[in-house]
Amino acid sequence: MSWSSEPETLRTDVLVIGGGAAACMAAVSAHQEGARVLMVDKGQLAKSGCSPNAHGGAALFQKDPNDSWRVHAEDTLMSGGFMNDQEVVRVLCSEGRKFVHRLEEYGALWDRDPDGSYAVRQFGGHRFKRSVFSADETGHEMMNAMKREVFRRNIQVLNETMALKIVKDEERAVGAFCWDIGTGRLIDIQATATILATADAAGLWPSASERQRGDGFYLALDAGAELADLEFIQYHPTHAWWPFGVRGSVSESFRIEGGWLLNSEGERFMERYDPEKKELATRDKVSVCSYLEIREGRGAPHGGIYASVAHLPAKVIKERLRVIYRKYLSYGYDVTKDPIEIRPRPHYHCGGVRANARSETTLPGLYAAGAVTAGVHGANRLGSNSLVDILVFGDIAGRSAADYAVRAPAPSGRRQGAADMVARVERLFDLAEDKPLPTAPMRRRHVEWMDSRLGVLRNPEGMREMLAEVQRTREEELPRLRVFDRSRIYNFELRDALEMFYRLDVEDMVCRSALMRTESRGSHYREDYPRRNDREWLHNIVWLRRSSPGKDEFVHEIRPVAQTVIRLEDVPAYAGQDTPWH
Amino acid sequence: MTSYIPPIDKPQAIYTLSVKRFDPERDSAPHWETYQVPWVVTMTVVEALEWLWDQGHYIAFRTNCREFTCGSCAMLINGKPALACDTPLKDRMRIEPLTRYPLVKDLVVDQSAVPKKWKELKLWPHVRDGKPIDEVSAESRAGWHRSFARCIECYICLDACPVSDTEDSEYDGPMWMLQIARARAHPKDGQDRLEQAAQRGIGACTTCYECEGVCPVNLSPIKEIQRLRSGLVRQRLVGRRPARPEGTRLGQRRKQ
Repeated sequence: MSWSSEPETLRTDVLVIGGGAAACMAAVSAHQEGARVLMVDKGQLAKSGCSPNAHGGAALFQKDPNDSWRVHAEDTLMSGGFMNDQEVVRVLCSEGRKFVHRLEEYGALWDRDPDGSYAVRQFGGHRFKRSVFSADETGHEMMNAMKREVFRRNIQVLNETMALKIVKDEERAVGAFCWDIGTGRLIDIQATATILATADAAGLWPSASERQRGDGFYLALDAGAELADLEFIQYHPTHAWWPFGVRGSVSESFRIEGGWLLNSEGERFMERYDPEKKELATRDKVSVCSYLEIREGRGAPHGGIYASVAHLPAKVIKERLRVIYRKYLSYGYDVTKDPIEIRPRPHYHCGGVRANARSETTLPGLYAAGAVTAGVHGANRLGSNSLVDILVFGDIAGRSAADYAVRAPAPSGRRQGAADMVARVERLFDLAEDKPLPTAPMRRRHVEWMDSRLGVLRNPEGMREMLAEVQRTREEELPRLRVFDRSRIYNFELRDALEMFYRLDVEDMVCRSALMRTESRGSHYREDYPRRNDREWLHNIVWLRRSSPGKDEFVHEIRPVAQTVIRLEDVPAYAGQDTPWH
Repeated sequence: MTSYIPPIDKPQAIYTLSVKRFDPERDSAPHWETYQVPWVVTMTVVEALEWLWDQGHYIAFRTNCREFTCGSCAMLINGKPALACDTPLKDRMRIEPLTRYPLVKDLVVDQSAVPKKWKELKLWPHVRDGKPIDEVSAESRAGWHRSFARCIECYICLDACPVSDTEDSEYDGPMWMLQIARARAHPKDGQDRLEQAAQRGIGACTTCYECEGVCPVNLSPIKEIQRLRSGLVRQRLVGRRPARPEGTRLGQRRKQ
């Protein structure tokens, strides 16, 4: 295997890294502004991102006359524990509406009320109905429309191409060094502006799917942008766990329609934790309580807890929980008779790359939009806000980047940092190492440890254990990591191995941030500090790269939250409490 | 390993799984390899392939969402096209790549023809008047999801279709007819999609129903094909169609 052949060079005005709805929106908007655009997607366009799996809705449309962007912003901030970037939230909540029409023009249809107006749904934490939707396939519908527009504009897309490094020319981003998984060739993409629109990092935990590996976090930090809020990982309380083959979340409607959560003794344990709301308590609370039951030894045999609708009439189940009923039935499991096993699983990482309301990161020439960014959702994401995030900031990133690409001089052709990647890949293939290690078991162990040590319940011992494990892996195992699949084309093992490098650094920062935050807030719950502490912790933990002679490291800064739009005191219902959850 | 699966500690049985493998850098032709895989109840083919990864058998295959919304993991399972994440694992299963698109490696096929087809068919709304859709007609709203919006583009129906079994067939195939029907139903479409369906060889469909029943999201391409055809007949009988491009007629072989 030789990688020494010169990488192919491609030139463009705007490079978009990612293939979900945020990436497509960014590409379309940049193209609309007249820029030449190139997209690279680690999977296949419109199939690899998370967007198609968003079933709920997009909070784009404040239909109620009493609703306003300000009320929406308040809801977002309360859910986000006031960790959000308020300028970003202001834009998020006030600029959504135009996308309702824009997506229709691209080929989507929203559901309508009988009077012909847009139908809206209410999601947990929203005070008004403001989420437009398209049956229970909103993300799929949006993605379909976005994809059509990308094709219509004939934007060049490189499918199954992984960005390995954001390349710099002095202190600005000038494209990325990429690897074409399908052919094995290396591609040096020279771009005047680069937009990062990848997924978040929920895949560091046992997230249910293939995406969200956190590459985007590392790429940005490595190039010189800042990361924030890494300690906040949202768990979804009801993920299918057993039967084995069923995957993905069991939708909220399972609890709304009256499903019970039971421990191994058959007790509805939520009655004990929250006698009033029971199973309908917030996502975070149900997740924490479920984990407490599992840890106390009252979990179900396969490591989850029981969820049952068997007490409901079969007719109700078949009508209102049609999707769940059919999904399980196809695996020979009848939910009208048997309980299923569920378990809280990671769903969305709220932190990420810091980008301002113009989608600019702190590195000139680098823009970020969508799930990869921090600041939009704070400490906890409000349901159906992420589909707004990807549209609003995808669009802004596209326009900002195109505008920059017109003004900024073209890259000089000096490419810092590309050569390291070739060396890394070549070393991964060098089996002369006497005790080579494969990726799969290493990754499996880290995923499991992240869940047990930095999952829903956090305590200092567990977090320190994880941190030590990260350091040990990095020092002892990473140098011996090798790729055993010798093939040059479609070598998915090489992809996983390369991701391991990014993953360890992000894990390290997640552990340190979580250890530093000595309180519980939003999705960060510490058993030793179970209360929210607004006096000391109305601060974000920010990570950045600092280089000084002989030293090059990732360091953190603790910065106060700028309350420029809504002050904590303005929301007495929230400010008066110290519970971590709203 | 491509995504995290819970550990299989106590398998209930050991199953045999045959996979047609091919590495163009090493093999001259595809060959079958057989593996022993632990089975637990409700395990799917995707998990079997992922388990094999953990053991160091790096069979190249695409997967992503694992809940039938991305359509990445389509393959031939016991000779029938199906999603691996939607197919319970059985003993002595035989797994092959899809046949319609060219084979690249193991279970991965080259689907680069797909975006080209999208652009060729111009399957996007053409009316760009900047006006919102005031009201969506009952006709286009009814069944938008039931009939086509749910399509995940897994290409399974294309593989199942005996008429359009290759990419250069005279008939584009069930999924593309379904997508044409979807484009036609959109209020801002503004194109003669019936004529387009005719040029794309809709007449060649023999209504053999092979595409029916393989769809993982339970769509009915046949119903849409019938609807397009009856629309086409009506349009031609009453002569409302615009001038027809030279030399095209229903079901005629498409110019290469």
